[in-house]
Amino acid sequence: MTAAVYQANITPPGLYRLARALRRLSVITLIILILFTASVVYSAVLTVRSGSGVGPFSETFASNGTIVLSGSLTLNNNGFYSVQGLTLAVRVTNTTGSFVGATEFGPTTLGSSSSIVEPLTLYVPVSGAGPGPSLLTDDQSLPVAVWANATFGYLFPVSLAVSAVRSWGAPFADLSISLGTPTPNGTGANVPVTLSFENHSPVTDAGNLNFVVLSSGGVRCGASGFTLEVGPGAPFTQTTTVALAGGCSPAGGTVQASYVTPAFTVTLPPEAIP
Amino acid sequence: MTETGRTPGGLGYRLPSWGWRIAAGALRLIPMVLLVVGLPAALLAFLISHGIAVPLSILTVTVFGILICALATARYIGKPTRVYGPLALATSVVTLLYLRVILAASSWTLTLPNSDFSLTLNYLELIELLLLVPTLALAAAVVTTVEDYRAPRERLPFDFPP
Repeated sequence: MTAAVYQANITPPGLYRLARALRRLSVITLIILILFTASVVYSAVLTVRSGSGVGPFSETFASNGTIVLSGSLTLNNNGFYSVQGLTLAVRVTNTTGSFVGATEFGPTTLGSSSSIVEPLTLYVPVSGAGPGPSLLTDDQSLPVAVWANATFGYLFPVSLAVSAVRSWGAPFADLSISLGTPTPNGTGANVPVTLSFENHSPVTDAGNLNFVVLSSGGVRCGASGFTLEVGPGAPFTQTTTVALAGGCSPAGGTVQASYVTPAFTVTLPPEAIP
Repeated sequence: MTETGRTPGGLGYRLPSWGWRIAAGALRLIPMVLLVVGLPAALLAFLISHGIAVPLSILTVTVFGILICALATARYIGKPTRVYGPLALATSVVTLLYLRVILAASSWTLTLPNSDFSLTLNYLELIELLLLVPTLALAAAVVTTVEDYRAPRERLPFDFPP
């Protein structure tokens, strides 16, 4: 008993103490890393369950020949670690893979137990060349690719890629401008022009649809227009009479229409005349 | 069941018998194998069975896991002897090699079959920090090996007090 008490008070040799300290440090490091990783995983689960998401998009025409899709991205983080370097990129193509539009935001930091709302605005050019103009007259399924990057718990960079298909409702779906049989009016001819389409977009087509009848050589034969007030999902069919200039034949030509409001003018895809 | 002795300095120690050490080592081996081999291998097998690509093969995890468990058990059994230091050193080196293999595959892309969702997780920095653990253990093993070489049985009264 005396020997044991005596021995317990003896300081271990230096090398023994050094080895013991290194071993303890190793074990403590392992425990800290395990606890930290477990807490990051738990925090990430809380963040994922926080109910982040993209709200509904509204659709408006802009003056520069674009359709503007505006929405918001709500991000919630109920975890106890901040989400750092958060960036998001959205790219929309048409079914043939042609680029339609893109938007991005970030980098930003989403603090712990916090919430942010970021606006998402997608500008889709619908005038000129490219796949844009067909969005005015053709319902389409648009592949949407979303990429997000962030760092969880200071140590874990995460990249997320999601692909989805969003259906697009055209504001002038199945647009048709057809010419009837011309009747002579003395100097030229009168021709009935029938406009028909359905508004498959979520916004009302309100304004004027002006059109020009062009001959096969591009000569302007006549022009007129329709007044529109077509709500979402509603069809439109109307006929008007256009006075054609004498000697100007629309056969083989085109009808070039424009959707005009006080705020913007959007040129619609030309319609061929048989 | 025990073997008592004294160091040249006169300090006493009480060593458990070889039989007891082997039995205790074998019992210790069971949870270790479950944790180091069984759990990771089962997790990988689960992911593979669901068509999810994994960063490490089950063979790699099993081979390194068994090697680490075997060396750690041998180290435990041989703790009262001079082979403890070299065995601890070998355990640390194999663990370092294992982590080095994991480090090379430290970016994992989780792609769910039949979905348009993929998640890439990078855990490079975690593995780099984890490398500290066997590195510190390696340093401790080197010190113990030197201590056992310079003064055999010097540590026994402190590792196995009477």
